Amino acid sequence: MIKVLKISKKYGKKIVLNKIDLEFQKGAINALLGHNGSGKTTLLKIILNLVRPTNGDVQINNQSILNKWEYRKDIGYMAQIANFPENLTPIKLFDLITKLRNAQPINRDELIKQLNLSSELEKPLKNLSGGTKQKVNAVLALMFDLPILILDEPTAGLDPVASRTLKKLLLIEKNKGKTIILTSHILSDIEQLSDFIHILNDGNVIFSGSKEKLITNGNLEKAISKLFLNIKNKQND
Amino acid sequence: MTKILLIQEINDLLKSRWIIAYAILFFILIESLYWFSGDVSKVLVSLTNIVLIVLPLISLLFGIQHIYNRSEFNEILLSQPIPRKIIFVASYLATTIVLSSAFILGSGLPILLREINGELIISMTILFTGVFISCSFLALAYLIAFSQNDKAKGFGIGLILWAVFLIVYDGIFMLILYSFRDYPLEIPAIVFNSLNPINLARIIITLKLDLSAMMGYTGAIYKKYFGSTIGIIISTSILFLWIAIPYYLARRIFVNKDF
Ligand SMILES: Nc1ncnc2c1ncn2[C@@H]1O[C@H](COP(=O)(O)OP(=O)(O)O)[C@@H](O)[C@H]1O
Ligand SMILES: [Mg+2]
Repeated sequence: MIKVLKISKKYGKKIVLNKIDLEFQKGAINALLGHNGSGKTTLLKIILNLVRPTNGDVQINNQSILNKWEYRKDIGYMAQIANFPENLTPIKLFDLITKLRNAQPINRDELIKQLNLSSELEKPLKNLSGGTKQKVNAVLALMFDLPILILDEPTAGLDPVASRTLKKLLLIEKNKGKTIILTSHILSDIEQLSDFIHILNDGNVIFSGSKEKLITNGNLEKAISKLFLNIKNKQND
Repeated sequence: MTKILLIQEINDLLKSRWIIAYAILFFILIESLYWFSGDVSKVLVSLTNIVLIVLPLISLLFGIQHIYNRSEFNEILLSQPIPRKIIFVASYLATTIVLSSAFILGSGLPILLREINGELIISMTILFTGVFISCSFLALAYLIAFSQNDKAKGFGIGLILWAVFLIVYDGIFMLILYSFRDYPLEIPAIVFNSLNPINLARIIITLKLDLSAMMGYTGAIYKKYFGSTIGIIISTSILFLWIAIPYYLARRIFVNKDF
């Protein structure tokens, strides 16, 4: 389980996260929602120590991870903007990361097959489309069979077939007991995939709980609109 | 882990072709000097000028350029189970190894081959100082590029720093000397001089060459106070701090940076 404890992040004077408390469950898909700029990526990066929080702590299995690095051997990460070494080919990139992690990429070939990447492996990443890069990104995160997956908008830019394949893969991973955190703007994806939903707004958590608790009647979209409407009304009072 | 990163980053650097261009530039400069003058001392003076003028600029530009290019690796590498310090060390080693090799192969080889039975010690001193200078200015390049996310500003700061050390600094120094000409200035001059790696390198080389014409005021003071050998040891030690301190600061910034 991953615990976020009173995490704050400021960029200059701008408060992006304001004493956030969250728990991400094991064996479940935890969806992180919120408008653009609500701090989803920042929070994921804090869990990876890519971004240093201004305050607070993050614990994985009750151990603080701040300023540590070993724990990342258990985490597969799909970055939001696939900011890749442009001159490398996917296969070279897979090899480099495999050597650096000193791990067995046991899922690699199956993922390449399922995501239909075989014909793209020898091309430099700069020549690949956004969707293809996103598939490469997915292989990087999933190929080592790691217990924690952190996925920042994993289906963004994927074609419907690839998107469906990836979602199917994520459900299989979840059923293996993994802790999965993902962000997405595509509500139908969240509805299909998630067990728990956490919603960020203006640096605060405005909902955190099971999908069933959020969607009492109707669908996710309605539930979320209602939530934001309530907040607006409270602010106006 | 360090070795894998180091090899990968060196390969990455060699692909950019800039470094090969630098090596060829050094080579052509030295070769044409030998051809046209045939005079060893002229070649050595020119080599000194390469070390004092061209090499700091190339090191800054090369280092800054590389950090910004390399930023596309940041998210992928930093999310792996690797300490940031190792990523930093590997990167710094890669750039220093590649740039120093280009300098030694480009300008060192043609000189050393000719001077094996001639001015070997002096040539080696100049080349060695050149390696020190590139280590120092690469560390400064890392410091600049990691504290400045804006690429254009990073290059701007690099160019200003180079101009300050090379030109502005001596101007200020002369002004101070002139304004306070009635006071004993030898100790302040030594201290002031230590704050500029290019001047330190000039002192090391001119003390070794025993070239009073190029030594300048501070060089002469070093010689008077410490003698050549101790003078060289002292200025080399301070020049080493000009590697160690920027390196340490750049690493600290890198380790604490948000990516
Ligand atoms: N390095 C940075 N410097 C300054 N502000 C940043 C930086 N990174 C993100 N931000 C700001 O933090 C806020 C949250 O960004 P982000 O976490 O990317 O949001 P989300 O992923 O929810 O769209 C945004 O307003 C963004 O502009
Ligand atoms: Mg985001």
